[in-house]
Amino acid sequence: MALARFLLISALSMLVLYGLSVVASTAAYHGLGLDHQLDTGSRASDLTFGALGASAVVYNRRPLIRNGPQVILIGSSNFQHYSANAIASEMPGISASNMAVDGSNLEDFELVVNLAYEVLPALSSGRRTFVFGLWYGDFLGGDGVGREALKSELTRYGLYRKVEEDRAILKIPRSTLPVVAASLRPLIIMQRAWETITGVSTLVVQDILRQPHPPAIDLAAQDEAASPAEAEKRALIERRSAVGTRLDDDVLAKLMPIAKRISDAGDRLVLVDLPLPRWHAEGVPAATDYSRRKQAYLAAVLRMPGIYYLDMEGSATDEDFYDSVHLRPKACMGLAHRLGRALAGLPAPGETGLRPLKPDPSHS
Amino acid sequence: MRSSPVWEGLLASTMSLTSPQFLAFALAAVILLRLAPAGALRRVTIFGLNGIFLFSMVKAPVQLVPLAGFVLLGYGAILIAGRAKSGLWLGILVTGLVGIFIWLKRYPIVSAFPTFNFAFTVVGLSYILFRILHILIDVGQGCLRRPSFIAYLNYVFFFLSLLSGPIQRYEDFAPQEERRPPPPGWEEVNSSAKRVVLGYLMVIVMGSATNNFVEMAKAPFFDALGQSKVVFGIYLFALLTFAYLLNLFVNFAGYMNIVIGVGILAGIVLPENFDHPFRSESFLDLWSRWHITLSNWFKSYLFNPLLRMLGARWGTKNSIPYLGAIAFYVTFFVMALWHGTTSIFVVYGLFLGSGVTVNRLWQILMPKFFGKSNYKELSSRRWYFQLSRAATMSYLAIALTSFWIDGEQAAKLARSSGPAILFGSFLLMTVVGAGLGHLWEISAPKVRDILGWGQGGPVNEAKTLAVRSGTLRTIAIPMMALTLASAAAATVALFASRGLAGSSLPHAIVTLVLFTVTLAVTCVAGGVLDPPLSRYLSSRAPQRQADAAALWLGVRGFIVVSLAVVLNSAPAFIYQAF
Amino acid sequence: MRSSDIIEDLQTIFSDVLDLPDLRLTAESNASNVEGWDSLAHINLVVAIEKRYKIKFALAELRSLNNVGEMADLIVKKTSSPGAQ
Repeated sequence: MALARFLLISALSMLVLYGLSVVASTAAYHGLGLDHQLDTGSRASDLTFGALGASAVVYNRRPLIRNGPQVILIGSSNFQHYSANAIASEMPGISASNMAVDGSNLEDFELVVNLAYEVLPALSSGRRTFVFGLWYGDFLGGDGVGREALKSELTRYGLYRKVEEDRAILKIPRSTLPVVAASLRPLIIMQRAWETITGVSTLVVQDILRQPHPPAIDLAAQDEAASPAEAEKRALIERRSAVGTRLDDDVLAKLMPIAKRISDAGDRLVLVDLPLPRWHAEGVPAATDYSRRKQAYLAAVLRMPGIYYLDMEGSATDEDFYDSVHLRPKACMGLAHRLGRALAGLPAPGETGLRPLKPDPSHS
Repeated sequence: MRSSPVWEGLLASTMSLTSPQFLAFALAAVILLRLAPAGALRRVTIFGLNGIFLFSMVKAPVQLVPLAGFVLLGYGAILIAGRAKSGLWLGILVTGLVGIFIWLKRYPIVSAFPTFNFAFTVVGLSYILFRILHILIDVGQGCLRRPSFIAYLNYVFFFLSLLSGPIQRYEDFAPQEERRPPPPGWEEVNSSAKRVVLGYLMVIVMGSATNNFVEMAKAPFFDALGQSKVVFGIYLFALLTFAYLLNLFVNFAGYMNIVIGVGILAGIVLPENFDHPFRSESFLDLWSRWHITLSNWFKSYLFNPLLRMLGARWGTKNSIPYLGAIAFYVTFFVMALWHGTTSIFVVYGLFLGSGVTVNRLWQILMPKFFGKSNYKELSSRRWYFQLSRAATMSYLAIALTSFWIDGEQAAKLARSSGPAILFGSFLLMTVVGAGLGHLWEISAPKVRDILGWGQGGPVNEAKTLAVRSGTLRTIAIPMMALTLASAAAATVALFASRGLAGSSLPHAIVTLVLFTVTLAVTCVAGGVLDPPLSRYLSSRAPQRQADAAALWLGVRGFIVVSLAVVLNSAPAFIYQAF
Repeated sequence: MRSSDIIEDLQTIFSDVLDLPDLRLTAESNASNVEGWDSLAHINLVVAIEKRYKIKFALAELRSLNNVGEMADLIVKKTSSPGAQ
């Protein structure tokens, strides 16, 4: 019957096209090295999953599935560009991943940790090291950009049913997750393309409407851009102070259960204090609040086996930042290597330690 | 009582156009309606489909009670009117129903009368009112046999036209409800599937694009208004209102395409609601092209009887045209009030009423002053058409401000430089529109030629069009032309706006390519390459034509389905109660 | 009364209302081939016809009056059967 044949060919051609796009996108991912590494700050991940990193954290967890020892970095945008490659290069035989999501806080870290545990194989238990890149901003309350992005990515294609505060409930069998994520690749790429288009279109429209818009700062420009001027510094401090003058106690309290979860699993957690420009750390009330209360809340957590602390607060000069929080790419790379070396110096798994680590003094 | 997930899912899903629930429902509806045999089974099928769709709109069944009550009252009125067969009774019943409608919709006039103290839905009520009144009046006047209760319910709640119409007459719906449609050929399925695809493209892509533009343009405009920057305000207001007009059109006409396309796939023909409204010659002409079923309804049930009454009382050869102008004003004023319950719609009414009246008076007075034949000659000139059309669309765009403006903003617009801006934008849009229209008119034949569209007229009929030799001419050139045009548009937009400023070269190239590909692919999905393809295929064997058409539908369907899934987080916005 | 008689009557009404003294109406004449028969003139015609034959058209019937032949048939029906409103 002509009609049945027509319908069949239509349906088949859609399926075939989709299949071809899955093949093409898989080839692209392979070419970009995304199969082997989850790094939300890398160019490849930016290109295909978007700069926020939430999409990569949800759909590119395959590289986490390995039995050998691995390091997993979790933080927000100022930890995103601590290159996983740089870290891994300082620790032979150990692989590294960066799961930092822009605009996330400690509550979101818990969600990301649970997302990691969802795919980490049982056999690798005890061989994983989580590294939290902390600054005072991680302890402020409220749903940030990161939480919204994570929620939207998790529920977008119907893989997860609901997102609660600390975990997302998976609808499909866990073992099928990598395959399903792989088959969604064409859609993810289309989504990325669409976001780029809407982003640039917004700039075009703003020009049509004669609205001023700051030019986007490319990664290449971040190295060269001038540090904020005095007026900008004041404006930035004002903006940051408006968010809140004190750390959120509820968020602070989250650190204990996260640490316990990781410690009980036999894995390690390294809490790293990330550097901030001095004018920022001294100018914003929440930052000074953080410095004051740090020792108190850390003391309890550090008593658990497998939890370590690394202070990198003084590791960068003001010139190393291109805005109030983010390091220039070159400086960031340097710090990533230092972090890698510090992590390499951790005691072997199984050994308990209250020992706080000092940054390596032989490098500037 | 624990409700089952099925029931929960049914109740809570808001049936967004891009949701898998809606697509599954549409597919099931098409299959069921094609298969359901004539008689009780078909009636029950339609009843069930309507019920599911209706329940998906609400969170709890109790929310539907007032709506159901209204529909029941309507049937009661029809029963009475059918027995009484008196003009007085009919008038009372119609007034009563309209009164209850006004009360349920909570128009400000009746805000003193309280309504129910639980949240209830009035989804589709605006259109349901028309369907009920039409049956009521026709039965009351003896032109229509009273439908059975089930047939009435099926008609009033028909899921395809529940939310935004089209308003179909009962006589056209009834035979389709009763009888099974003949099995379709592949061409029918192809063209209606293409129509659905186009509808989705319009709603998802163009709808969200224009919506974003409108949202972004509001703040700058009100800033300029507040600072009394008249020229800049005119520029912004023109952009804003025209973008809103486009937004309304693509959303509404797009949804109509989906609804009518799905209808034809299911074997049910719904009336058209749009007929190239951007080709309107005058404001009166616009209303036979925009929301056609609405203006037809008002013409039948308000304009005609009103004018007849005026004409019978005060009608002379000279006065009739002016009576017509009055009837137009009243009809369009009421039509505008139906669109919304807030007071700003009174302003919309004034705009619509004045528009048609001025238009009508122009048509009456111009021949008087210049002579009938002179006027005829004038109105056949191309520049007259261009100006007239541009003025019409500009006037509509400005009138539609009532749809997106809130009370406070409207108050600002009425003060100081607001009126100057309104008038200035109207002039600007008219002049620019006429100019662009003229440009399009002179370049259209060439563009159609390059894109392989031929010189108008349907292409996939058995007309012997001179098929250009070979694949190159018929397909490759249109494709290249489309790609080049997209690339040019992307380049101009990105460079003129410094949207690429601060980007490295590879990044800029990737962005440009991305834009070009998106524009070209969107056009392809919208059917730009269909005419040349059909012409190329028309010289091939019928079976290969069918296969190629199926393949092409698959390509376009793939693009739009992927877009729909990707853009799912920006749910498509269906206009209700318009 | 027969349809053909009515059409002759209608011709008088039409040429008067539409101001076309040379009009020749047939059963096939409709809104598209009679000059000036637009929706406004339509109502004028309806008013004149209703006055002449002392009948009232229902609103739904007005929609189908686009063809003179149908018009005549309808008038026959309404003038010969009771129950015309």
